[in-house]
Amino acid sequence: MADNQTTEQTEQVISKISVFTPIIYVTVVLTALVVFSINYRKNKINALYNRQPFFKRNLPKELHFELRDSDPKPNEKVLKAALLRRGAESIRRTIKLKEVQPFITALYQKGSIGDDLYERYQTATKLEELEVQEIVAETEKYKAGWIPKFVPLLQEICFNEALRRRYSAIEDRKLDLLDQWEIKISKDGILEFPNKEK
Amino acid sequence: MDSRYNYDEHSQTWPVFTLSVLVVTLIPFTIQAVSNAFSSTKEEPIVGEIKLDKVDSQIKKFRSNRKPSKIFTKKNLFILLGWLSIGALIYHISITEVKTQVSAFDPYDLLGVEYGTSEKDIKSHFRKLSIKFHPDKQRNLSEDEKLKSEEHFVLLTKAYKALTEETTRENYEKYGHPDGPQQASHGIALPKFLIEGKSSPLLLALYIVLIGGVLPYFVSSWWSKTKTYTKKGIHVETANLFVEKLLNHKPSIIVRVDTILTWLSEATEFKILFPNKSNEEIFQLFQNHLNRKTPISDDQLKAVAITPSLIAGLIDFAASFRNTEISNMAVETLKHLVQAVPESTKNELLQLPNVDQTIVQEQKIVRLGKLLTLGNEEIKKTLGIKDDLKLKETLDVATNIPILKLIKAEFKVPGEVVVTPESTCYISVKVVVKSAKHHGETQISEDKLKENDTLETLRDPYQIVNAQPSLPKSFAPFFPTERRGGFVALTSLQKDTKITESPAFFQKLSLSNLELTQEQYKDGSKVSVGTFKIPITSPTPAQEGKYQFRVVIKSTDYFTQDLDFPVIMHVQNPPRLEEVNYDIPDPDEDSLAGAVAQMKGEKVKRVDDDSDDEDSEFEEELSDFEDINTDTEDEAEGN
Repeated sequence: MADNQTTEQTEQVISKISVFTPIIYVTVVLTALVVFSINYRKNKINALYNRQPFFKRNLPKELHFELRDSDPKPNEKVLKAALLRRGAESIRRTIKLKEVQPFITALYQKGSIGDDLYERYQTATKLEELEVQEIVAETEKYKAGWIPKFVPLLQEICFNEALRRRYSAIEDRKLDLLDQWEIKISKDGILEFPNKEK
Repeated sequence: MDSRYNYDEHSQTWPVFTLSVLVVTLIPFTIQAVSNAFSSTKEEPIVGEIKLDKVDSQIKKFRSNRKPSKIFTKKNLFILLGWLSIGALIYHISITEVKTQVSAFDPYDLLGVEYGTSEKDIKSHFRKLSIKFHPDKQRNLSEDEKLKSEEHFVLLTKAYKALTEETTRENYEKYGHPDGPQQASHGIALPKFLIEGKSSPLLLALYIVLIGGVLPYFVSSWWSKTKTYTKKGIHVETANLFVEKLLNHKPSIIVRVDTILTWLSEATEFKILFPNKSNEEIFQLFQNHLNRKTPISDDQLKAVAITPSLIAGLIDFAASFRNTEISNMAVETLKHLVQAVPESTKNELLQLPNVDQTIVQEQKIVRLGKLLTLGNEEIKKTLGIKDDLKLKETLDVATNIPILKLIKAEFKVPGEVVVTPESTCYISVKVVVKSAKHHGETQISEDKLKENDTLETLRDPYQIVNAQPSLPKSFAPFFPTERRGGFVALTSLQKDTKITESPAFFQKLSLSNLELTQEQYKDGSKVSVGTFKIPITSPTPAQEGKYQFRVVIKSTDYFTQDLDFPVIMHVQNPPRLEEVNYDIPDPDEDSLAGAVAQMKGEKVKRVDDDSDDEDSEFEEELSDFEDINTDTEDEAEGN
């Protein structure tokens, strides 16, 4: 008997529902979804903006821009030198990115790094490609057909700088290691080993 | 009765349903809890454990606070509440009467005959009953009683027909009732008071909260956790930091303990733990810890306590970037943090208890082994100990720090005599654990180094390693947590001195040799041999030849002499059976390895060291480009 009563009640309730109810329902759901998608995209773009670059400041690039846009224009030799510096830095970064690519991929597959870093790495690679294209275009401005000679030159500069850095670091490394091993240098330049038995 | 779902009106079913769900979940939990409680009580002492209690009272307090209470856990609370509700449910079920709604129709019972009575007997029995119960035969009955007796007679006739007549019998057999199919009813084991009446909005609200609130919350928090923490358990931001540091690291700069500590101090974990502290302040906490500054602050203990997991992460990254120097230094830093010893050449002595730091620094002695060749009085002088009792403590620790001695290291392919091309291999390292008090060589018989190739070991070559006893807790009185350290093996390629494998951690090794006397150690019959197996993930090269590797095995907790040895992967095609040549020649006298071995006056290691002449071949493989790659570091910015 009780069951019959409840069915009657529900029938009454159903009859009260107006035409607007489904419309309101659909509008509410749609607005919620639209608001969510707008916010989501906004956040994603913001995250892209705030993404930290992989490398530190690119000083040669900034220098080249500043010289190129300065008024009055400096000597063309100065501009070429700045471009060479910028190119060498770009080569260095490209090589570095290529070098770490297998490491980053392996780490990503292992789950040791998050999606964010992997995406950052890919963005950095793309940016570097763009930078190389830009430099090539810039080179063409100075002298058509310079590229085949220009790129090997950049490589040479890059490698030479690397060697130079190594060479000039030897003295610092020596001092650092002596400090670590607690070895002192006496006045006449002889190494004094603290733990050596006499 | 209609065919709609009906709820549990008399509260008969839902308690039983809830009870069975509870029992099914609770019993496994309870068994686990009980077995845990029993297993933890009988913890056996591990051989070689240093039991000396030198822990500062504040660190002790910190340690006991971090240890979760064994009795008052959420799990135990759940088990307790679960059993209480089981009790309540059983009580509830026992006091409610079971009202069967549909009485089962049993013709034998109605007629009062036994099951399986023959049709003939049933007929005669029914005849007797019909005489007795026929409504026409009943007199002097009220209206009500008449109705009842009629009903009863109808039932009797039905039962009789069910057993004798063809169609009724069929109905009875198919549907359990002579009248054919009965109304089916489906019950839901939810108490009726929840569905109807005042509490129904409450139930609806509960549903909404569960499906719309609680479920998404748990899923999203789980998801964000997998997003914010890597599989190695470090924060994603910290992982980014380490990758950046490695990417921008200049090989020309020497990595030292302070370098690693600076990197660690920038980890996001510390920013979460101490939102108000700068990187420098965290670095200062590390320094205070290394220099054993008192009073010890709670922040310092908290900060140092999480460093091992960060360093493990850093080692993982450094090894993935194939950087040998940083990997090595990260392990060193871990040792420094565990023993609370600043960077110095006298670490082996400074890690001992009761020593006077300033006196030790002035001494010439560096190694533990050297220290233990001295007489007691001299040791006291060297370490700045005045008390005999304290000296005993110190020596107890000094002699129980395990030192590894390499016996044999070789590449192995399971089930093969030689290292075959393109196969999975591992480096098998045989070591002897010795105490600093043991001097000289030990005699290890060949059969101790042999491993029997059974089907089991072929399937899992690492079984032998895992079957060794666990290492005891480390002696680290200044470390905020109790530690069970171990050994880490770093494998690198000789040709470019870069790491090739992810670091292998070992926490199993028998320390029984520490209890041997010097004579027993020299004799060697009681000396046990430990095994490490370092898995090599990439398959062996397809080309035959010799490939040089370098393996460094470091203790993660103690300052001792690390093992650092070359191993040669001699890839060759499997020999034909009659041509097997087991002899591995000793190093040539004119080769570098042979000369070094002779100068040391050592027996030449049983590592296959016979390939120096072939070094040049592999050096040539180095292309210029590869070499330059590593040289190009980020230095142009000068920062």
